[in-house]
Order: sequence, then C-alpha cells, then structure tokens
Amino acid sequence: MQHDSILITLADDDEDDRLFFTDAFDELKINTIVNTVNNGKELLNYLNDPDTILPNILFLDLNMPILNGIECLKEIKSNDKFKDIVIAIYSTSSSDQDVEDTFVLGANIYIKKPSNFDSLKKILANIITINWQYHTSGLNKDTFLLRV
Amino acid sequence: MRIFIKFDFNNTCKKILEEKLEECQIKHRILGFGEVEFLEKVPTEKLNLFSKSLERYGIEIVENQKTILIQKIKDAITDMVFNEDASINVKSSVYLSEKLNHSYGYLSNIFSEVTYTSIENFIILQKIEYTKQLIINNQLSLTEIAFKLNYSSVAHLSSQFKNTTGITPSAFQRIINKRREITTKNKN
Amino acid sequence: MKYNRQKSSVYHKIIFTISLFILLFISVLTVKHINNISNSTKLLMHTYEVNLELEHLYSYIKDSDNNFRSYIISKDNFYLVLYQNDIKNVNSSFSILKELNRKDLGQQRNLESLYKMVNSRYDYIANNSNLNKNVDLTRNYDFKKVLKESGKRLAEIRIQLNDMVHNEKTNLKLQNSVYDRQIYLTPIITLSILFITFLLLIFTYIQTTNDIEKLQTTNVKLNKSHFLSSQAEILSEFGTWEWDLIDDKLTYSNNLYHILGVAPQSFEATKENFMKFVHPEDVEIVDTMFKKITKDEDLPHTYFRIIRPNGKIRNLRSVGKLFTDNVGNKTVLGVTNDITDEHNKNELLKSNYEDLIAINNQLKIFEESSKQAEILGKYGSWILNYDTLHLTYSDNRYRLLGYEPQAFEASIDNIFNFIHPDDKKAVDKAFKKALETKRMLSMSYRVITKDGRIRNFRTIAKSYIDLSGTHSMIGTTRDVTEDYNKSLQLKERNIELEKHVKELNEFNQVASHDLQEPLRKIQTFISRINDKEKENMSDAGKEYLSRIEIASDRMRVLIDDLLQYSKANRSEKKLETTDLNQILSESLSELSQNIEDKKATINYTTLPTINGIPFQMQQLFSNLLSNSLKYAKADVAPIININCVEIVAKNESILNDNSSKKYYKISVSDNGIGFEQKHSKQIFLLFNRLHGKSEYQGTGVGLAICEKIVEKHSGFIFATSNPNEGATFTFYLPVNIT
Repeated sequence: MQHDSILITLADDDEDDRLFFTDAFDELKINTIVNTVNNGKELLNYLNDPDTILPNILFLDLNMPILNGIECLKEIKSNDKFKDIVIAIYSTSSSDQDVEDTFVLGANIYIKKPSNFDSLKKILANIITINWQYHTSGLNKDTFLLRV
Repeated sequence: MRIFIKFDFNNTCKKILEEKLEECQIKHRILGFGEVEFLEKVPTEKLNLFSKSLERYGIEIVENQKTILIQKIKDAITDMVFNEDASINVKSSVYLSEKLNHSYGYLSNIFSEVTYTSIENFIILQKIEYTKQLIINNQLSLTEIAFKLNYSSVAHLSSQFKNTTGITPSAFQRIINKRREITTKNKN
Repeated sequence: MKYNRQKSSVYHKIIFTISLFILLFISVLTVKHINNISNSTKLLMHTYEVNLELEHLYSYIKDSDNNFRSYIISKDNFYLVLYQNDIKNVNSSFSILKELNRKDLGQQRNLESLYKMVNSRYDYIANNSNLNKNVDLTRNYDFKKVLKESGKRLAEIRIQLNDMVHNEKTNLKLQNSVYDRQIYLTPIITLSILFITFLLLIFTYIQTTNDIEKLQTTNVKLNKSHFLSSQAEILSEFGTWEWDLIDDKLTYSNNLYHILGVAPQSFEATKENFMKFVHPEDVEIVDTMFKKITKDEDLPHTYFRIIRPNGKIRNLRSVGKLFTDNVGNKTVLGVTNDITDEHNKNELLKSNYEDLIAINNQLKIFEESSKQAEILGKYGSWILNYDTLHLTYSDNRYRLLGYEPQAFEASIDNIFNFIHPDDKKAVDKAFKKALETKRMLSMSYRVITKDGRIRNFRTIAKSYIDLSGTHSMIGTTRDVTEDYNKSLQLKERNIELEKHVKELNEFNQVASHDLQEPLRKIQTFISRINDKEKENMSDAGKEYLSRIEIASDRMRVLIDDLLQYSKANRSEKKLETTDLNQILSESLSELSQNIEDKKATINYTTLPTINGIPFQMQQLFSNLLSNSLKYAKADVAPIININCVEIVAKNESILNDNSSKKYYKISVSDNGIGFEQKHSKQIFLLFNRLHGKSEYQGTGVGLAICEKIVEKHSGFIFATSNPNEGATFTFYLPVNIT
C-alpha cells in the first residue's frame, strides 16, 4: 500500500486505552509506526522537538490532565509546522456538540472510543485507508472530516 | 475580504511540470494529464532532482504500470465527477471502460488490488468531495447540489454524505462556517 | 278699531279747510261778480230790447199812420189791411214791452200811459176816420183836425217814447255805474284768488310730498324692522302672537307657524286650531293659559309641549303682556319660544350635574381608599410642578420618612436632606435630568428617616400636562426595604440553588461520564478475552462471560441514557431561533439508515420556527421517531405522521390554561403497537418501561428526556394511544414572537 510506514501518535493518559490502541495496530498488519504519549504537555514537547519526525496521524484524547485535548488541538492548529498532521480526536464522549466543536477547532476525525476490540481495529484500519486515499488522490485535506 | 477559489488541477500541475522541466532543463513533451514524454535520455540524478522539485507540490513520478493505470482510473473518475459537461447520464462503468479501453471488471480488480478499496467507493468519495467543495462555495443549495451530482433526492445525498463522513451536510456547513468565523476573528 | 287722527294732519286739515273757505268765499265773490256782469249785460240787453221794441212800436205806429194816410188817400183796402197789421204789430209790441217791463213799475206806468195814448190815438183815428168807406174828404176840416190831432198825439207818443227810452238809458246808466264799480274789482280779486290758490297748492304739494316721504321712510323702516324681527324670530326660535281682546282676534307671526312645524299662515289663527298641536298631556295647561289671557289680560311664563305634524315633540314657553295704545285698544302681545334645545340642554346639565355629584362622591371614597392604600402599601405620592418647582407630598409620603403628615413644607431642597449620602449624587443627577428632559425613569435609593433608620426607597414618576397646560411630574415612592431585603435573600438563595444545581449536573455528568470509562474497559477486555481465550475456556466460563457481556452492555446503555438525560437538564444553553424543519430533516438524516431498514414512511407538514436549543429539539424528534420505529408492528411498515397546528391555550382543555397564550401543537403519530392509555403518564417517568428488556431494547430514559426537553422549552408533552392502534405523542411549544 504505502512505501513508507505511516507514522501514528497517540496522546492518551489512560494506560488501558494505550494498550488497546497499540495492540490493535499490531494486529492490523499495516505498515505503521505507533508511539504514545501520556498527556498534552508531553505531546507538545514531543511535537516541538526538532528531532521528532512529525506523525501522519495524531490521535488525541480529550480528557487529559495538565493540558487537555482541546487545548492541545488549539495549540497544534495554530502552529504552521503541524498543519500537515491529520488530527483524530479519540474520546469517550459522543456528544454532538463536542464533536462539532472539535471539528470547528480543526480536527479532521472524531472517534468515539469503542467498547469492542474488533470495532477498534476496524475503525483504525478504516482511518488509515481513508487517510491514505486522501493523500494519494489529491483530496482536500482541509475538508477532510470523518466521524466514526 | 473573502474570495472563493476554484482549482483547475490540470492546468496547475501542467504549469508546475513545465516550470520544473524548464528549470531542470529536460526536453519534454506533455502528452496529457499525468503523462510527460522525455525527448531525450535523462540521467538518474537529473531525474531525482526533478522528482524532488516536484515533491513539495505533492507531485510524484509514478513508476508502476499498475499504479499508472490506477492513477488513470482515479483521474478519469475525478474528471467524471468534477466535470460539469461530462455526460452524467452515462453509467460510470461504461464511461470508465470506454475512456480507458479496458473492461470494467479488469479495472475494478486492479483498483481494489492496489488501493484496497472499490471503484464505487472511490466514486462516492469523489462525489462527496465535490459536494464538500460546492457546500464551501456556498452558491448552490443542497437540492441543487444533489441534482448536479445526479442523486435521486436530497435525502439520498444527505444519507450518503453521512455514511461517508459520519456527519450531515448541514453539520459540515456549520462547521466550515464556524471555522471561517474563527479565522476572521483571529485575523482581527 | 277706532282710528286716531294725527296731530299734524289736523293742522294741515285746518289750513286746508281755511284755504277751502277762502277759496269758496272768493269763488262766491267771483260768481257774484260774474253774475253782476251778466246781469248788467242782461240789463243792457233788456234796455236795448226795450228800446228796440219802443222803436219798433214807434215805427209800427208810424207805419200805421203811413198806411192810414195811404188809405185815406187811396182808400185802398190794401192799406187798411196793412194798417190793421200794423196795429196788430203795435199791440204785439206792447205786449212784448209789457212783458219786458214787467219788473219795472216805472216803465210799466209809462208804458200804460203810452198805451193809453196810442190807443186813444187809434181810437181817435178810428173814430174820426171811418174805417168803413164812409170816409170822405169832405169832412176835410175834421179830417185835418183829426190829422193834426193824431199828429199831435203822435208827437206825444214820441215824447213818451223818448222818455221811456231816456228812462231806460238812465236806469241803464245807473246800473252800469254800480256795476262798473263792482266790475273794477273783479280782475284783481280773480288774480288774487289765483295767486293765493297757487300758493296754497304749492304749500299743500310740499307738505304732501314731505308727508309721503316721511311715510315712505317710516314704511321702509317698518319693513326693515319687520324683516329683522322675523329673522330674529327664526334665529331665536320664537314666534309672536297678537290677541286683540276687543275683537277677540288672534294673529300669529310666520315663525310661530314654523315652530308648530307647518307653513306660515297655513291655518286660521284661532285657539282651537292651536290646540290641535298641543301635546295631549299639556292640553289643560294651554287651556288655562288661554283663559288667563282673556281674564287677566296678561300671561306669565307658561311651559307646555306641542307635537309637530312630523311627530317631533317640542317644548314651548309662552309669555304675554297687555299692550294698550293711546286710543284704548287692548291687545295682548306675546312671544312663544321653542325652548326644546334649551330644555334638552338643561336636562343634560341636570343629569351631568347628578353624574358629577356621583363621581365626586366616588372620588371622595376613592381618595379615602387611596390614602388607606398608601398606608397599607407603604407608599406615598407626590406632585412636582415644573414651572413653580412647587412640591406637594401626600400624607403617607411624610409618614414614610417618619414624620406626621404635612409636618413640614415639602421642597426639593429639604427632601434632599433625607437621602443617604452615598446615593445623593445619583439622585441629584437623576433629578436634574428629570427636570431637564421632563421625564423620570424609575430610581432606587436609600433614605435616612427621622429616627435615623436606613430605608430603601423606589420612585417612579411620569410627566403630566393638565388641561390648563401646567406641566407637572407625578410620582410614587415606595418603601421597598422589606422587598429589597427579601429580594436580596432570594438572590442569595438563588445563587446557592444554582450552584447546587450546577454541582448536581456536573456530578451527574461526571458520574455518567466517568462511569463509562471503566465500563468501556470491561467491555473491551471482555471482547479481548472472547477473541483470544474463548477456546481455552470451559462451557461454564463461556456462559458466564457471555452474561457478563450482556450485563455490561446493559449498563453501558443505561449510562448513555443517563448521560443524555442529565445533558437535557442542563440550563446553560441559551435559546436561539430554531427552524424546526431543519431540525426534523437532520433527525431524519440521523435515522436514515433505521428508516430505510424498516421501510418506514415519514409524512410531515411545515413546522414553525421557535426559540429553542437546536440540539435538544433534534434529540426530541430523534427520540420520538426512533421510538415509533422501534415499536412498529412486526409485519407492518411503520408510517409516521408529523403535524403542526397553532392553538390558543384556552381552547385546549388538556393544558388547563384559560389564557389566550398561543402554542404550537406538534404531534408525532405512528401505526405501531401502541400502549394502554392508562400508562400514558407513567411512560414519561425515568427508567419506566412497558416491556421487558428482551422484547424491546431501551432503558426507559428516552421519553423522560423528551419531557425534560419540552419542559425546558416551557412546553408540555402528552401521549395518547390504544393497544394495537399506534401511538400519538403531542407536545406544545409556546409561540414566541421573536
């Protein structure tokens, strides 16, 4: 599918969720490199680190201590350096208002954390696929909105 | 002040190619969208240089035959969906097979093999993409867009939109508008 | 009627009579003179005739002589005849003379003597001459003697005649001289007569002309007066009447006829004819009136009504006074006034007056009750005159400040002293502005009363211009200290409550949300186990795991619904203009898959735009629609109808509201399995379900959320249904004019 691996970053304070996430990608057999951070501050540090290769897709949990998802989103979107990153909100909340708010703030994808491992795998695969299609088909990333 | 921009990819890419080809001093002939004939043998490094210069524009030199075909299929589909003059009444399968001179089944297989998704899905994707563009342009109503894209009803368009993106067209519009408001606020 | 003679005309008449007499006298004189003249003429003529006749006599005598002589001479009978003729003539002359001298004795005597002479002569002649033929000339001597004698007699006759003539002449002369004297005066008298007559004529003519002029002027004045008086009559709506007591004759002026509603002089002016117009109830009054006039020769003010031919009733007032002229004619001159308008006005005034009295009484009561109300309501009123800056305080206004009513003279300055120092500036500013703009909005401030307490006052005022143009500000001041304190308390309590609510909501939200986390984990791990370890488990283990899965799924749904419910409860969202059509179409979009799967038909009418929270309205519709889809009959494709109609509260008994508030009544009805009407209230309760969890999915929160949403929008929701006959959910949303 892709020459290079897809770089994926997850920011989530919950250990279990991080575990699910990485396990899912492991089982998916897509060429991905996944790394996780524990909170918003860590995320920003990671992104701002000049050595860091910026991820293709960033999965962002909303409820994080120190710097929550919304704040991170705002920060990332305000920085030109990060404009190529596809941001996927990865959250427990499914309120329409929250979804819309995050989209308005610049998120591309909104995922409600599934309570089923298979669903998680499917969703992640779908996202990767669609993202790759956007990438290869010259589709407008700015209007890339997906809610799962 | 706000202006609306329509992208003519063909033209844009062509211009970039020409510019870069001139820059790299490669004698060439542009054959069509996605095809350039080099009129002389080009050394690898020059090719790499050329390739690199196109990178920032998101233009890649396609190497694989299959990839080429896939690209052609994609382009044909993009053409079919985005082009207003194209005969919309023609079934997409017929259109594609005629345009690319292969059977639809063959095309379909190749497409799915490489892209892991079907032509139909891709068509839908493009349609939704176009819909998004039209929504952003704000000049046509949903009903008009549905008609333009040959949907049987607005509901049909809405449901396909929702199925593809997970949000309704009106929600999409709302979000885009709010985004605009924020950017203008930030500018001021 | 006796007629009077004018004094001036008497004068004229005297002059006229005198002049007439003068004229008569002078005419008599003239006539006399004329008579005299004719007499003298007659006398002349008489004398002339006598003389003529005497001459004739003499000539006849002479003729007879001649003829006798001729006879004698000729002895011709012819001459005898002639002679006899002549004697006849002589005789006739004598008779004539006799006749002529009938009046004159002297002459008669003369005549007689003459006659005698003549006769004697003739006799002599006759004797001495034979008439027969015996005459002969022989008797010459006798004959000559006779001749001489006859001649002598003739001469005597002649002398007699001459005497007579002479007498006549003398008489004539005598008479004529008398007449001459008289005649001399005649032309003078005639001229003077003429002259005097001429003068008199001129005089009379002038007088007459003057009199005529005066009469004409008087006439014209009279006409004018008459005209004016009839105009006055018409204008002032009165008519005049005259009652000649002597002749018992009535005269009505034209306008009196008008007042009676008929054409002028259209009936003979009599008492009886007048009576015909009188109102039946007032006939007696009018009768008495007539009697009074004839008896007392006077009529004081009498009031009665008449009915015009067109049926209108008019009120009349008659008054009459005796008028006696200077010849003693007695007339009662009267005026009858149509006082209907006056009468009506008076009636109106009377009733107005009575109304005023009543209103005044009411006002007095009102004033008293107002005073009491002020005391009870703890407020006082005041009036400020913009022009004079005079301030009047009501009794209770003084009491508000702790003083007795009217304890001091209220003025802008001394009132200011009561205001709390911190508020003085604001009040001053507001007051100045009020004086400038002549308007005052409501104002709150504190005062320090007589006994040093701080009270909160609230004043409202309004400008008022009365009928005389005086500009005032009328205000009411209320002691709102208790209210103020109460409201402070309320505010504090409210804030507390809101805090509580907020906390509760947050708790709700957080709890639901935070409960989700572990639950999700449980479920995910269960699914992991299912994936990886299922083969390694025992049957019992698989069974238990499966049940755990189901239970946790259930818990998840419950928590989801709870979360939704608590979100519906949040009051943070502000109401905005919401087009329900858009909301519905989004709802339908959301459920499009479900609708397609169930092959449902959704019919809907145009929905209104309301003030609401869009997300909540969408949830409302979605919940109701998904319920209808969920509880569809197994083999029947669901048909859902959405209707909207605007109603008025009092027409919908179910709302129990008698006001005219308007609501949108939106109903969502389906053809599903329905439910028993007796459950219609309970289905809205939280977690209430009418079916087991295995039959239909759901936690029983959906409708409770719907109710919460509708409540939040100040509306109401009701359900009606019968088993197997589908269900209708009706909710009312207030119509707000945005």
